[in-house]
Amino acid sequence: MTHAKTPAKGADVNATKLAATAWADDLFVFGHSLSSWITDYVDMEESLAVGSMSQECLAHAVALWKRAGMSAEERDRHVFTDPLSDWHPAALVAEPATIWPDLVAQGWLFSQACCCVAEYLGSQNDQTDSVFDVMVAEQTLHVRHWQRWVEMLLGDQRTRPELVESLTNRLASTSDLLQPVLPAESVRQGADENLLNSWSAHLREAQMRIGDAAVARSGAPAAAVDGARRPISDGDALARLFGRIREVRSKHPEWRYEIYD
Amino acid sequence: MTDTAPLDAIRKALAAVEDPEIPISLQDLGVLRESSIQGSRLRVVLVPTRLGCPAKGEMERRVRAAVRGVAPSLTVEVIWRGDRWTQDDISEHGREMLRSHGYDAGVEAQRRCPYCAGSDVKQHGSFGGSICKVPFSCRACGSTFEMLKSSVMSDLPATAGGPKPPHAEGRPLLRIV
Repeated sequence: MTHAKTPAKGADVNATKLAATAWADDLFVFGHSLSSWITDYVDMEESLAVGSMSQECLAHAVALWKRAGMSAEERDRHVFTDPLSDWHPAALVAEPATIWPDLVAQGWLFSQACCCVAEYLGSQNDQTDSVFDVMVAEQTLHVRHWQRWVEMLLGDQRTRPELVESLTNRLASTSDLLQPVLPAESVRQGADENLLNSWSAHLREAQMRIGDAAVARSGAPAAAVDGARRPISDGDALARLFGRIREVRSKHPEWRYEIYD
Repeated sequence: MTDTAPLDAIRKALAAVEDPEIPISLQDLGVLRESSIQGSRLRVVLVPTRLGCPAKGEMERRVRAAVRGVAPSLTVEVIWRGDRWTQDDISEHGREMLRSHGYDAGVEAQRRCPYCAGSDVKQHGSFGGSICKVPFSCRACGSTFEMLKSSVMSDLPATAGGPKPPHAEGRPLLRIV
C-alpha cells in the first residue's frame, strides 16, 4: 500500500464524500448485476465465486456510503425510493453483461478500478480507518479471479475473439470512470496524479493483452475523467434492474430488507 | 461501572458467543476484539473476517442476547470496525476447534488436511461455500475441507509468528472505563 500517512494536502472533504458516494453507487450496481450470474452460470465453483464477489461489492458500497455520512435511512431511500435520475453510474457498469466473456471483461476492468479508487480514497481519509486497505485487498482477490478468466479465454483461439471484442467495447466505455473521483478540472490543475497513474498502468496492461488494432478500435481514453456521466433513465437496462429491486418493497412494504450492512 | 452488572458473568457470556456457521466462539475466532463498560453502557467491538460477511446481523443479535441474559439493564452498543482480520487473530484454542471441525486454520505456510494431516492438497479456486472460506481437497484421503480466508488475503494465507493481539492470546477482553 502506498497511502500517505495524513490526508493529502488540500484534500476537500466534501469532494471526497461525493466521490465515495458515486463510487459506492457503481459498486452497488455492479454487485447487483453480478448476482444475476449466480444461477445463470453452470459451473458450481464459479457460481460460488460470483456470489461472493457480488456480496463483497455490495458490502463495499455500504462501507463507502457510511463513510460519506449516509445513515441507514438515507441508504434505504437511495436504493428503494429516490428517483433513478439521482443515480449517475459509470458507463462501464451501466450496461450489465449478457454474455460471459463480457462479464469477465467488465469484472476485470471494474475490480482494477476499485483497487485504484479505494487506495486513493484511503489516502484522502482518516488514516486510522483501515477499511480502505481491506477493500483494496478484497478487490485484489476479485482482480485475480477475473484475470484467470482473461488469460484462459485469451489463450484459446475459440474464445479469444469474443473476449477481445468485449474488452475493446468495455475499454471504450471508461471515459467517465474516474470522473466523480477526479473531476476533469482538478486533473487539469494537477491536483493528484497518483490515481490516474495507477489506473493508466492497468489500462496499458489491458491494451497490451488485446493488441494495438483492438485498442485503436476502442478509442480507449487515457484519462478516464473527461466523459460526463448520465443519469439512469426509463428504458435503461439499469432501470429494469432497479425495477426488480424495488418491486420487493412495493409489493411487500411490510418486509424490511436492510441495505446490506 | 454499574453495581448490578456482574463483570465475570458478562465476560463469560461474551466469550461463549459462537459464530453462526462454525462452532467456535467469536472471541476465539478473533471477531470479538474489545468490550468496555462505562456506567450502564457496554460497548462491544467486532471485526468481520471479510467486510461482506452476511452473518454480521446474527452475530450482533447473539452478542446482545448473551449480555441481556446476564445483565439485562445494560445498554449494549455493538460496533463493527473495518479492521484487517487475519488467521493470526484466531486463538490457539480456536485453531484446535477449527481443525476438529474439518477446517485448516490457515496459520501455517503449508496447507494441511485437517482429517489426515496430509500436505498433498489441492485448492479449488479462491471462493468457497461462503465468502470467508477457500475450498480444498486432499489427494491422500480424498476429503474436502475449507480454510478461512483473511480479509487481506490475496491468494496466500498470512504467515504464523510475531506478537499476537490480546484477543488471540486469550487475555480478558472486558475492561472498565
